[in-house]
Amino acid sequence: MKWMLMILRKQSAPIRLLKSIVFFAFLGFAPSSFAVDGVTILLSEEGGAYSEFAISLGNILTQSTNNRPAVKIIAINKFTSDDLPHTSNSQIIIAVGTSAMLAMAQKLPAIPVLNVLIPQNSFIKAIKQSNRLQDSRRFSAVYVDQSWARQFGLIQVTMSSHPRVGVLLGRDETESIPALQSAAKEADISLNIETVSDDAELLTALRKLLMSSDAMMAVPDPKIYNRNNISSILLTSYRQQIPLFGFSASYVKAGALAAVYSLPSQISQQVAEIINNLPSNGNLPAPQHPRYFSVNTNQQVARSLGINIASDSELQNKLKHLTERAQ
Amino acid sequence: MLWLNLIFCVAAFFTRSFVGLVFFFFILFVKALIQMQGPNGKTTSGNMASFFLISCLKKLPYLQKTNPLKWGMLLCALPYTQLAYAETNNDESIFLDDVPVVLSASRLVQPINEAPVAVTVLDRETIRDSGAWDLSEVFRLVPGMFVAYHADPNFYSADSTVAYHGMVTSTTSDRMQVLIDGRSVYSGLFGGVNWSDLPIVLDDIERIEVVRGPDSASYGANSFLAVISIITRHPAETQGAYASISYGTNRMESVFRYGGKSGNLTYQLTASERKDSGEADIIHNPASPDVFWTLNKYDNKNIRIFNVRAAYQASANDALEFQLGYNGGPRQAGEYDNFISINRTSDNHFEMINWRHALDGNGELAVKAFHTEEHIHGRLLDSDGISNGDASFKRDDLEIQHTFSSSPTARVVWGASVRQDVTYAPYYLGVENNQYLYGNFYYRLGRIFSNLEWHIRPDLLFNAGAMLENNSYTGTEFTPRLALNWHITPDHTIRIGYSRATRAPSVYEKVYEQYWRSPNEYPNLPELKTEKAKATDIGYIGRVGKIDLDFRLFYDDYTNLIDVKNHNSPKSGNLNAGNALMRGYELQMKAPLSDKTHLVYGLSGGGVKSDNVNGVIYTDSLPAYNHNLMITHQFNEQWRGSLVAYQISRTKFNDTDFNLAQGRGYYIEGNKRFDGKLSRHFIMYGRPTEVAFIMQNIANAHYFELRHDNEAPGRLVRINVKTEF
Repeated sequence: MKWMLMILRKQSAPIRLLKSIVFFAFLGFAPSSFAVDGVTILLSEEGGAYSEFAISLGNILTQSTNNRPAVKIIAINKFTSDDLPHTSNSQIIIAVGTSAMLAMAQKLPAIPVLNVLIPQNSFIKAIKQSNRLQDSRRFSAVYVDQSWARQFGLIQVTMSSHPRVGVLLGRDETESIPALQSAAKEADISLNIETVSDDAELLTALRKLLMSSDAMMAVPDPKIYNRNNISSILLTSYRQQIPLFGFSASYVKAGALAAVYSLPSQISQQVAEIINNLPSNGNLPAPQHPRYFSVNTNQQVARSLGINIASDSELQNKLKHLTERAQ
Repeated sequence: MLWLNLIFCVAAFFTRSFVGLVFFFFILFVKALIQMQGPNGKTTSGNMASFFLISCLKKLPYLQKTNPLKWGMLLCALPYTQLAYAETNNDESIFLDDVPVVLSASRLVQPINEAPVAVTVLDRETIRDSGAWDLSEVFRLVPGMFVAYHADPNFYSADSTVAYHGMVTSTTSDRMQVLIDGRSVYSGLFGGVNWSDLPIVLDDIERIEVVRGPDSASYGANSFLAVISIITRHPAETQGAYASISYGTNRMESVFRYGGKSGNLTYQLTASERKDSGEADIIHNPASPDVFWTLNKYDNKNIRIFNVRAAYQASANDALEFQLGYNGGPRQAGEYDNFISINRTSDNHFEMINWRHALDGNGELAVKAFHTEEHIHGRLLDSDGISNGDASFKRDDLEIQHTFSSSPTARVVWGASVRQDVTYAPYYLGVENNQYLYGNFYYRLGRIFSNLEWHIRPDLLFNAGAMLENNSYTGTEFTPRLALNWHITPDHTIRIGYSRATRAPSVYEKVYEQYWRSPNEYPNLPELKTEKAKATDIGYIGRVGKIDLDFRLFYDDYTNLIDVKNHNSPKSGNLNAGNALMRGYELQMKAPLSDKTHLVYGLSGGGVKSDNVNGVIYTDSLPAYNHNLMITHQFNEQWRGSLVAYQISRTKFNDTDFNLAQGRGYYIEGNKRFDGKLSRHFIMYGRPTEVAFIMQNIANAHYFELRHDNEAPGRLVRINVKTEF
């Protein structure tokens, strides 16, 4: 700021005034960054994807040239409220995983909380508990699940035109149906949905869907797509020669044809960008889906089903262009 | 986990046998492996105790006499083990955790146009639409397969003869490798398959893959003429309860199945009982007035089957499968009064364990071990009076297989296996009354196999496989298989293949050879060698419009064919004197006539050139034409109908004639047969139910199959009701 004042001093008074007004007006519009001094990362659990995310985020932040906030990583089981920074200025909490998010939701600190590695449904359920939580400027999220647009986009770039896609949903997830239907329509996909209230109905509903679908899309509903049911679902779909699109790399290894997902490192990249671009008032952006993603395919399953599928990188590029065009 | 201890008990029970012990160690090894993946990496004290216990017991001489059940109980009391499988309980765990590998390398089916051999696949729907009652009847739908109902001329059992290209000698369904879930089920005694003795229920079959041609590189020993691979449904697909009852002319059956889940374990139990009176007692159109030729076989059967299948997901990458099966009950055999079974029962069981470990890059490591026991308890009446017709057969097998991608365009499968067969069948091996026949006959075999699948270009696939086998009868053999598949367009493929296979003599043939080589007979007779096959074929697999076509021309050269029964063979100084050159074609066509009507057609034809050395007949065993047509129609959501027609031209086999008065060389005339099925599907009290009406041999045609003393049953009607609940 000082050097600007010095330049101004050298000029005549009216011009100085004009330039100051322009300058300050400009400053008012230009988003000045919220220099974050401290980032507290709360892990639901130690190890696994949670630590991977935290370490990756820590690395990006410490390597950034502009601002190097202090990064503290604590696991939720070892956490006490004393661990939180006392001053609320220039601080941000990153809650990793549902347990960390719920801990923050219970005793909402004055510091903005960004929840990551949580499914969209979990976040929406959590903020319903109290009005304060619904202020996304202080309590926001980067979801772990991809947007419907991107999931349908993957099917669109993989399969022939106008594919019929089957979706199994639990009774508790019926609120997602309108969003699913509109995203499917955008992607030129005809959607069949079957709702299931308990495991006994699963196979019958699945068989019904398989008869009228070209592909199945797995939606992240833990009541249906859990370790116990996945064998039945994958095997039954395979017997009918219908491919399944999953939502993680390990689904593809298990037998899904393809999946679009985000690695913890990709989520951390997005979170670092959010931190570095925070406005001066420190308000968090609205809850968002992951920006960076990867695509995996199972070539052996594709070959066995007689489906001609492009390579991982090709599909990733196609999907990137598709979703960019939409935006 | 309780289930693991249950398996211990079962394993302990069977530790009477050598493989039971191997089995037992195998389970402990797997248990320790799972243990080591745990968070602590420590085995429980229980495991250490059991290792110690076994090593001690092994050294103690009285182990052989100790009741295995006693120390089995001891080990059953082992503390539960902590099996590690990362489980988090957060909502996001479904995104972050490992998912069990379901479609592993061995479970994925190779598309037919990439297979190095000609394959016919019979899926569940086809098996149901065919209205088949016996498993052997299903094979009528395979082009080139000869099926004769209850035609086994050996008096060992009244089972159907299934022979590819009709090359039947004097035994049941031999010269083929037959596998159920990878377990070899052909019997060592005569080298054939006793279809009624298999512990499998038709309802439990997922699909049957028939390789039309030799393929020992992939399927192992005895894959001489063809390979039949039966794959059963995975317990994950058969959850809940299922019941089926059939009742009809001369037959009835009830099947009950229950599938359940408990954490990472899915299991399924099937129990079934079947009563079948087989053929009619009297032949309708006898070929000769002689009373022997007016009577059909004694072939009544009461088949009781019990099956358990369990799949345990030990970790995301490890799947353990366990199978146990039982088949027993009274079985008639014999014909007229020259041979009658006064009472004869079967008592068979098997246990199999299979461990699949998924590797990165779609690779897999699989270890499989099984133990089969087949017992016949029989009192037989023949021209010598009453004899003891007991027989038993034991098979133990251990196999390891590794699948991996050596490059993005090449996949390699390789592995090894060892097997031991023990046969005891003094009556059936009986040539005169030699005491040495009252012992166990051992047969051991070891093999190494490998196959390379290389996509030279996206449209050009090269398959090179081979097997190196060593067995205790004929030593070492090397059998390669090469194939090139060219996808001219994605819808049209040409395949050229060359394959070599061998068949080692069966126990019966080996014992007979020993008899011929005895000092009183032909002591200078050389030992039996393996039979040899060289098969070349060129095939087209493609899609024309909506029609799927599979056509091939084959040229099969068989040499060193074994015959031990005809006296001319040892007299000529060569038991491997037979040869036959088979040339022909096979066609398979699938066409949707509309979206509700489907048609499947199979046709095969050809000829055999053979010197019929020593009077053993091979010419005319391949029918000039053999075709089948199946039409299915889905009337609406409830009603479904199917109609199947079969026709075969005249044939003559080595064992066709037995009547010297008739003179050698009469043909079995060709025949035509129609089967039909009509079913209605509906929901009864919320449960999917089906009622079906099946009529076999609609025209009530009376015709002979294989021999003039074997007339197929006339019209057989039955009703079947099945429901899931």
